Amino acid sequence: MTSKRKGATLFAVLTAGALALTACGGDDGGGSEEPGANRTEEPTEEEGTQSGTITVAVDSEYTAYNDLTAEGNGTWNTYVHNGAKLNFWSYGADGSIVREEEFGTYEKTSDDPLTVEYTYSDKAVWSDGEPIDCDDFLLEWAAMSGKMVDGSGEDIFDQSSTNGYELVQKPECQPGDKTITVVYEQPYIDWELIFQGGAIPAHIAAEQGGLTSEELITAIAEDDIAALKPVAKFWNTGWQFNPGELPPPEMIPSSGPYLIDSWDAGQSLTLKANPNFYGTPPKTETIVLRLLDPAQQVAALQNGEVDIINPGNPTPDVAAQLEQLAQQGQITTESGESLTWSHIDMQQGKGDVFEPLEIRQAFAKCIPRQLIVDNLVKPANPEAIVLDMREFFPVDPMYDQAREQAFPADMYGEQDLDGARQLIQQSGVQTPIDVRLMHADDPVRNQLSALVKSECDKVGFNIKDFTPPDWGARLTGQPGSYDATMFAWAGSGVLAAGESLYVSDGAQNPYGYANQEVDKLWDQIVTSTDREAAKQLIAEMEGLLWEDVFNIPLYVNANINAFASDLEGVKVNATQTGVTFNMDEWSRSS
Amino acid sequence: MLAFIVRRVIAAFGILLAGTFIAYVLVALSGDPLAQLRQSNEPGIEDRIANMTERLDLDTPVPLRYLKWLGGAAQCVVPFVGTCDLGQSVRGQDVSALLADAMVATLQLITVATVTAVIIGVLVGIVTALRQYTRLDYSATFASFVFVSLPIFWFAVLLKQYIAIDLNDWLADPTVSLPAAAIVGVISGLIWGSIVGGDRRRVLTSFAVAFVATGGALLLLSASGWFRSPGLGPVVVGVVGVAAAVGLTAVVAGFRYRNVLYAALATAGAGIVANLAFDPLLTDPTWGTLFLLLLLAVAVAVGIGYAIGGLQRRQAISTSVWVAVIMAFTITADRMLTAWDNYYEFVGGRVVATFGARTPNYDGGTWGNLLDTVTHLALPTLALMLVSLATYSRYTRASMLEVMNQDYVRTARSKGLTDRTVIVRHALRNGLIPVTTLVAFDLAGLIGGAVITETVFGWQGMGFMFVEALRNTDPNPAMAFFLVTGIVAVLFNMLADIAYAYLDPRIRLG
Repeated sequence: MTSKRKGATLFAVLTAGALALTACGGDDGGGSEEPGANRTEEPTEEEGTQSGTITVAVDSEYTAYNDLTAEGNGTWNTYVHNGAKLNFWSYGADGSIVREEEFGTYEKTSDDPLTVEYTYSDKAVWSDGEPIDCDDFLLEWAAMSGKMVDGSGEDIFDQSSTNGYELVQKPECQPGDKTITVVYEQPYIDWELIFQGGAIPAHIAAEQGGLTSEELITAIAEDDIAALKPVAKFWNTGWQFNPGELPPPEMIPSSGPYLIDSWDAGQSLTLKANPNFYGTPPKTETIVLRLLDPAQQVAALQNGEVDIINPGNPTPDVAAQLEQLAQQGQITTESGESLTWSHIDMQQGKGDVFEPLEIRQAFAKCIPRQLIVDNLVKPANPEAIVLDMREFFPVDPMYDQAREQAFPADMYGEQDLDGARQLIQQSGVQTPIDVRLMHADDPVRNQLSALVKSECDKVGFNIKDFTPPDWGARLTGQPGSYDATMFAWAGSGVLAAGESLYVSDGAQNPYGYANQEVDKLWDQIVTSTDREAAKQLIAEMEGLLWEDVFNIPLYVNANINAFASDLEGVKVNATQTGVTFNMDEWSRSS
Repeated sequence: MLAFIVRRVIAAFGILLAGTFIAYVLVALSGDPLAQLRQSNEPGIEDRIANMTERLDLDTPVPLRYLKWLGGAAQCVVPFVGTCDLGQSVRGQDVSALLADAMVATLQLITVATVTAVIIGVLVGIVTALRQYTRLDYSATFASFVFVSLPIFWFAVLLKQYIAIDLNDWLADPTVSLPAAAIVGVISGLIWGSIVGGDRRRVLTSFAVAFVATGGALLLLSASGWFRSPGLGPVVVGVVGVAAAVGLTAVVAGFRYRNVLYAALATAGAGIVANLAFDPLLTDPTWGTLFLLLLLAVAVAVGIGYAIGGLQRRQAISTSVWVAVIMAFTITADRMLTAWDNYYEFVGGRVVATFGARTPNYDGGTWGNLLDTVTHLALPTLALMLVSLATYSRYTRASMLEVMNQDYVRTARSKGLTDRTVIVRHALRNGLIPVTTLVAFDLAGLIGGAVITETVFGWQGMGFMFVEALRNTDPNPAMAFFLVTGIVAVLFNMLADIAYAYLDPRIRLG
């Protein structure tokens, strides 16, 4: 009996070993297992039906129709509203501003005071037939400006931010007006990115608050807070949903090419072409957004359950898997970049480790930026380059020119350990220089930190990993608790966004960095009204930042799309609006 | 008993209070819900940070925040108050609503998996205990160790690749080639050979029979296009019914007295007739109708057992009822497969799903939707089932072996009772007591969410909610998860104790 048992044990051990071996091989074996060569010939999902469906995987669930509130303002809602709402402008795939002429036009009519004239297209209507006009614009201003305060000084609207709107004087318009003029109290560089125009249907909010559209306009014009309160209450909470609880369609009309048709909690959300759409009709009748964890999206794509996935910044494993499927012709992949950029910031105030310029320069020289890109970004985006700028991204057409102007390539173009050593010697600081490098405790950051340590320790630094769970709060909350920090900013097309990062005592500059020239430049930038001119100034400012080695940019995250080979029109979108940003252009070739 | 329950409930409150407090503090200290916002440098981000700080009460010290949370959560536990406040998620959603959805999803997922795992696991356990140290026993032991040691995330990837993606690819042109049939035949032969056991000749014979039967059946089904449009049909339903009648009789009553067999066969006959007679009703019934039909079937079975059972009335009734239930499930499966073509077309041939609970916007009537649910439940159920099945079979086997070696069983045998009576009447009942406890604990664990399974298969249950909450550093959903798992754990522990006392008269609670 004992020998029998032994035999069984041995057998079990052998199997376990075999399992482990297969597990190791699983990575390359799993995907390559002869995928069925006939896949392309077989009908893809719903090809036969006239009203085609394209299914896209998203990583989080819809929560709110009103995306101007603090709760509703999130990418998970943008994924849906990319189809269901059209505005005066939208972000292009590279973060540039795209004017949506079918919806309306706008024009700057004066620089001083900054005056912008918005004109809704005569054809622009909500999907219930109500024209998009004065009341919608006025309600957006009222809700976002922060000026609708009650007796106790409390803002009755719970907007995500009053930024920009608070500079706008109350616009005036009559019911039915399609042209509205707004005047800014002071010049503002991002004026183009303030008013959306088609985000919220005022007639619905008015009705729910017990007013007519006309009464709403009057109430706003007369600052009638009592009358506005019920409207504000609905605006704040009425368009915030529990999972799957979509209100009747008339409560959530669409200003864009698609209608929100149905929502199955935890599963999917369906958009149907808007029959009352006034612009170019969308190419595909039905778009389904299916909720799925990014790690599981590749299998779902392979199984044809979803047609488009955007795993964002994929791990090298996922990237390799997609690459393989693409080579087999099952899917198409497209890689590009995002606007999320990683960087290392240094405490450089009085008495800080990085106070001497030489030390900062030495740090910038020893960090293996090219190696970091090769190891961590290139697997997902073969065209990835080292990021040498902060406010310009490689997708920006102006990147090369600005880099030429601002980046001292001879200093930091390549890793230079000898140079770094010399600089530290010059500074006279005793080595090893202890550096508490704070970052999030995730695999990518840990790997990065290890790379930095292995190189920079050679020249006299002593990098110490510091990964507290509340690192985000410590950034500005306890700037004394770390010497350098590594994280990513999520960039956008908003030019003024940079100000708080670089100006002396800026809200997001806890590093003791102060340069009066930089401050002066930002004063000019934010009060400029010409985007191109402002970008020139920003390039100039970047030059100063490099002179001071304010921080060290590393790379922008890769961004990869994968989709069924028979789809057309899918594009990589660098901005945070997500892959669905051009869903009206998706179609199936057949 | 009542005193016991009251004492346990009071203790449970203390445990829950302490547990939730520790969990709350840990969750609160685990990360920063504002981390994501802090990485945005959009203008006006301070407004949003301030807003969320206020909404989630982040400025209040953690112990005070816990008391506030407790005040809301306590209302959920008090019955009939109906005002449940578990707070808000970071995205401003009502956590009690999130929780309700998640619980429904989890229950849906674990019910089928647990029931099948218990039934199959116990059966395998009993059989292997009775055939200790045979080839069958070794094979089952081997298989259960393999399943127990499988990391489920990896197993899930395998399932997705082979049972979903590859199977779907194959379904596009479902033909079985001669070598493929031969390979499957050999596998089947090996399995049957080891199950049947005996001397070399018997093993070889069973191997050959299984090889020919399996391989042949595959080729035949392939040639007849069955895989393109699978179904059972009334004949298969009838065969299953008769087989169930004979098999169950053999286990429950034996063939010494024929009354039970006749009752079971009569029930099977009634089922065959009913399947044909109710055909129009079964084309697209509502769930209510189906439930009524099931009740009717059970009632008829009871009637038949009562009428024909004679002296073995009790056994006849229970056998008939089980036959009726098995037939009802077979008929359901048969009808469900009538929706195959429609479903196949809608999903473009990708029948087995890798994630989610439903195909969006598919409405195929009762049968189509059932098929849709089944194809979505298939993989996660399989993964969950195989893992817990292994545990059940091992426990049952061990417990049965222990009981079978006890004196009273030997006494029963020496009295001249049949093997069947000894095993089913005397050994099994006591053998299953430890398994009951195991099932209770297992259920408690599963209701807390099969975290990995749910994540891998995109199932929006409790486990997924928890993981998602951790990922977003979202304290309130995480706490809702702890609250439910805590209550369930305490409750099921108590239920296990009560069940134990009920099953084992030697144990008194009080």
